[in-house]
Formats: sequence, C-alpha cells, structure tokens
Amino acid sequence: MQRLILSLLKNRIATKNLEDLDIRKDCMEVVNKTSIDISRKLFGSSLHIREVDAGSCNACELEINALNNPIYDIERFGIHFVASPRHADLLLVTGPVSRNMEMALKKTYDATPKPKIVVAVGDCARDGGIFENSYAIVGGVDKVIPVDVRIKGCPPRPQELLYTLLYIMGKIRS
Amino acid sequence: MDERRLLIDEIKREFPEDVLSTDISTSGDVYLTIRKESLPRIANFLHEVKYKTPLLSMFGTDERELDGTYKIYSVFQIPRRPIFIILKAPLNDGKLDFPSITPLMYSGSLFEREMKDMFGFVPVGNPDTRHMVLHENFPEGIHPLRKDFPYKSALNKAKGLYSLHTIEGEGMFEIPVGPVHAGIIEPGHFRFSVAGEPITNLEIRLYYKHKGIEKLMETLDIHEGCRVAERVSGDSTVGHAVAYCQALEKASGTETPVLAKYNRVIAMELERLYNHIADIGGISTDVAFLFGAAHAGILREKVVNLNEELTGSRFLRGFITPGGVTRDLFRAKDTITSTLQGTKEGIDKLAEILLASASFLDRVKTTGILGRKTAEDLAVTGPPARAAGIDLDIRRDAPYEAYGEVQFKVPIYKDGDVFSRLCVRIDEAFESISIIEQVLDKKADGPLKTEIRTLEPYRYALGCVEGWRGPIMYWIMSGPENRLYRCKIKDPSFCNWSGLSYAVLGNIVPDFPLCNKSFNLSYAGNDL
Repeated sequence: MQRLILSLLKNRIATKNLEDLDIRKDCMEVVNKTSIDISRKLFGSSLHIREVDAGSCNACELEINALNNPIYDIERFGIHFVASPRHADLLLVTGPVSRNMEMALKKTYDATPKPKIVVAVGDCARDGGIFENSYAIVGGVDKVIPVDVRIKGCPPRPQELLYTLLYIMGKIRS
Repeated sequence: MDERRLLIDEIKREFPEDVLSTDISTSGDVYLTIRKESLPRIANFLHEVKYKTPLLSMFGTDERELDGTYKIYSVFQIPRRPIFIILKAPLNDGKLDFPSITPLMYSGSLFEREMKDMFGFVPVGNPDTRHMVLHENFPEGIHPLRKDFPYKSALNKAKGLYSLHTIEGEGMFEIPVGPVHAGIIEPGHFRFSVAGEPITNLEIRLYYKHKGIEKLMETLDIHEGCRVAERVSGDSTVGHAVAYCQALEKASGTETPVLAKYNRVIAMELERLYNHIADIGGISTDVAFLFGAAHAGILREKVVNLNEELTGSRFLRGFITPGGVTRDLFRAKDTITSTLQGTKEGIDKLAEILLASASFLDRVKTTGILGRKTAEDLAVTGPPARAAGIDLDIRRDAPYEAYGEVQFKVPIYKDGDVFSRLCVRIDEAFESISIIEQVLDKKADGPLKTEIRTLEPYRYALGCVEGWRGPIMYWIMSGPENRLYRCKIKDPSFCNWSGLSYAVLGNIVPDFPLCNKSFNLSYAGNDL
C-alpha cells in the first residue's frame, strides 16, 4: 500500500523532472506523537479537514486548494475538506496568527469535536515567520491552540501537504 | 516634460493660492505641494472636472524627523498617459485634522479611515468614524505608523465595540458569514441584509489578517523589502515584487538591464496567466459546472509547475530582485513555448465549452452587475473596471519594463456582469501567452541585474505595475543607512472590495460566491 501511494504521488504529478519534485524528507515535524497514534487508529481511511487561515499571505491557501484539483485529487485517499469545524477531524491552520484572528481561531478549535488534530501549515504558522514580533501578530499557531504536526515551506508544496496528511492517517509510515 | 509643465501651469492657474510648490521628479512624476485646506477641491478637479482619473492611492507619512510635519499624499494618473500626479499636503501647526475629500469623492473614504487608524489623522467631514484596520482588541490611541510607535510592541488586549450597519424594515433579516468561511479561502466578515432572497445591503468587514507589513518594511534594509513584498499577497508575488523594485530603482536612479526587463515581463505574464485560468475554473466551480473547474485545475497546475521548473518556486518567489532578476528564462525558451502552446489550446477548448453551455451562461449573464458610473466613483480598477467599460491598463498607459515593445489588446466589455469579467480574464489569458511569445522571440544579452548599492536618505519614488488584479502601487521613501523610511503598498483589492459590495445588490444570496469569485480579491493584500 505504502509503495503504491508513493508511486501515485510521484506519477500523478504533471512534470518531467520527478527528481526535482522529490518530497523533502524534513518537510514535516511531528510535535505530538500520541495524537498521531490516536488518529491512525480512528481516522485510518477517512479524514475530514477544516482549513483555517489565521493571517497567511494566501499562498498556503492556493496550495491547499490545489490538493482538490484532478492532479493531486485528494479525495481518492478518503480525505475531504468540510465546511464546518463541527464536521472536522483535523484543522489545517495557515499564517502567523494575527491579533484580529486570534479569537476566531480559538472558537474554531473549540467547535471541533475531540479527538482532533491540528496541523500548522507553512513557516509563518510555525513561529510567525517574517512577521515574528509584529505588533499585530500573536505568533505561531501554538501560541493560541495546541499543535500536533508542523509542515515547513513558504508555501509547502501540495506533494508535501499530501505526504503529511497520508502520514497522519498511517498510510505512509516512514 | 512639456506636457507636465503645461499641466502644472493649468493647476496653478486654477488654484493660484493653494499650490505652494511644484517639482518634477527625475522619473517624471509630478509632485504638487498644496495647502491641506485645498485638498478636496484640487483632488476633485483632477478626478471629476478635468481628467476623470481614479484616485490610485492616498496615504500619510510621518516626516517629523525631516521638517516637523505629517504629510498626506494623494496619487492620480492622467488617463492613458504615463504621468502620475502626486498631491502633497503637509499638516502644519501640529494639528492632525484635514478636510475630508469623501463628500466630493467617495473613493477617498477608505483611504482616510486607514490614515485615521494608522496615523491618528482626523478627516473632518468623513461620515464614517469607525475604526477600520485596528479591530476591537487594539487599545484606543494606538497609531502604528507613527515613528514613535515601535514595530515590536506588545499591546494589551482591549474590548472595544464595533457596530455594523443595520437595515431595518418588515421581513428584513441578516446573514452573518465569516471570518472563517466554508471554503478554503481567506478570512473576512460579510454581513448580508436580506429581504426574502435578494441582497439589500452587504457590508464587508476586513483587516482580520492585518500583520503590520507597512511597519515591518520600515525596519528593513532596501534589499530585504523585496522578499516581504513577495509575501504581501501570495498569488501576486511577482506583481508586488516588481512594483517594489520599480519604486526602489526609480528612487536610486538605477536602470535595469534589458535582459532583466524581458524576464520580468515573462514572469508577470506567467503570473497573470495561471491566476486567470484559476479564476475561470473558480467561476465554473461556483455555478457547479465541475467539468470546467477540473479542466482549468489541470491547466493551471501545468503553468504553476512550469514556474517551479523555471525558478524553483511555484509562485515565482525569489525570481525578482532589486536591480534585475535572479535567473534567465530565455534558457528555457523551448520548455516555455511548448507548455504555453498546450495551455493555449486548453483554454481555447475550455472557453468554447463554457461559452456554448446554456446552463452556464444562464448563471453568469446579468449576474452581479457593476455599472460604469459606480465603478468610477469607487475607483475600481483592473478586470472588474475593464468589464464595466473603463479602458485603463497601466501596461499600455504607462509602459514599464519592456511592455512598450510588445503588442497586445486590452479587452473592454460594457455590461459589468460576471460574464463580462469572465470574458476579460479569458481574453487577457490569451494576450498573456502572446506577450510571452513575443518577448521570447527577442534577442537579449548581457547581465541579469544591476547592483543597487546605496540609496541616499529621504529619496522617494512611485512604482506602479498592472498586476493580474489591477494596478499595484508602491511608494517608498528611503531612510538613513539604506533602510526604508516609509513604504506604502496599495493592492487593487483595496478599492475593488467596495465594488463587490455594490455588484451583489439585488442578486440572490446563492449567487454571492459567484460574484465574489468573479472579482477574486485578495484579503491579505488589502489587510497588509
């Protein structure tokens, strides 16, 4: 299964230079191992995601959106983007959390049923990135809600987002 | 230069006592220093009486270090001429009030409210006195762009109040949407006032993503500014970077090499191309025509992958650099040509299918009409303006980089509905491909960039490019030690958002996503 998915990840991507597109080995960072174990048990073959933009430049949104196009076609892995946090298993949060979005992010987190996983997408979500210490920024996502997994990149490429999500589901185990 | 002199003479004749001094910068921009009391009259003269020109931007500066005053700059462009007029109104005697231009020109309202929050200026006569950028959690009396406010401030949390407009009447109800939306999009709050199905009023509340970018710029070196400009709005990476670099190059008197100019044009058109394709797909999604969306998704992905192959970044990040570019795209001429050939055929096929589908046309025609008069009053620019019959395009009117050397059409439609905006995007996508092909046929050699080493303090210049959403404007002023003293950023979304709130009136709520997508505005570029 794992090999099949990896080959799918490679071959369905429309570019000639597959070598260049190899997924960076350090593209993700697991912060909370326990929640990954729980998630693998519970969300093995289906994962519902709510995306929250807490202040990004919108490049991360474009890449997350690209997961839905026929080339990455994320739904074939049982992953589905939902319209409400109440339907979600996982929150994909982008951007440094701005002061003006702090409350909305907290409320979205509270509205998501347990058990839930939070993935911080992109360098800004990690620690505020280039906006660190700004008067209008709270900081990385973990300043506001507990983060389980982080994905690096500015923005992370769709392959890397997909790889991380499949890792969380236990479909890839390296 | 004669044309500029004549223009100055005319304004001086019209307002003999109000124009204090005039200056034509080395790059040809006309600066008029005026008394602040005359700002509404002179602005209205340019906007309404003389040139019918939209207000491109209006912003404040804190120049107390230089001459003890704050200043207000208002930027206009003479239609279809490469001439920018900048009115400079100093706020003398330590008083922060100035007469609002809003009663005469509605498009000034948002700019004035922005200055009110960021500098504490008081626009006397602006009917809207609410906060805009700083939400309720910011303490009162904070003005981030004043020089005595440090970027790294830890502010207390306040609990203010904000009142949205309410429309009252029998059967009237409100639908609040956001800031966290149902789709994968950016945050903003929409408050619909509805009676039955049609929208009676839409109030859009933004600035959820305010990150203090303009203040961040003031802490940076002139070279670092370019990397931040790329991250103002992810989908306009190249547009913002080129506008920033252009302002910097004008201020320092740097001439970029020919090869860099060609490369920048290719990058700008690649960006326009993938975004327009995405929008064609987005409009298809929002009328539930999923075949169109899937088709556009594949086409877009191919262009974005081409970007990655060419520059290492799917959004062309790191490609534009002050003084030039970092790589030569001419080396990959064959790859670009063959990919674009496929893209052209793809868009052609997609457009044919969309425009032949009765159910598709039924949804997009006569939906979300933004009339010409409204668009002019709101200073709407870019594709929504061209779809409403306003013939403006910076690439043609004030050619920058190598746009003067290529031939292209500026598509103009009259109806101002979703269909017109879609057609503008389809036409522009074809034009983009043609522009790239024309540029690739040119012969260019030489260096890829000119080094900008130092910039004298307190030099200023304006950079303006036609991004895929419309004109992106940067005004920068240098400070001591190669730092930025002030950097005003204006994304076309800033004015176009108010265009959206008028375009949806009378439409049913389910058509709102469609209207929204046909404008496709940036929240990040607006909120800064």
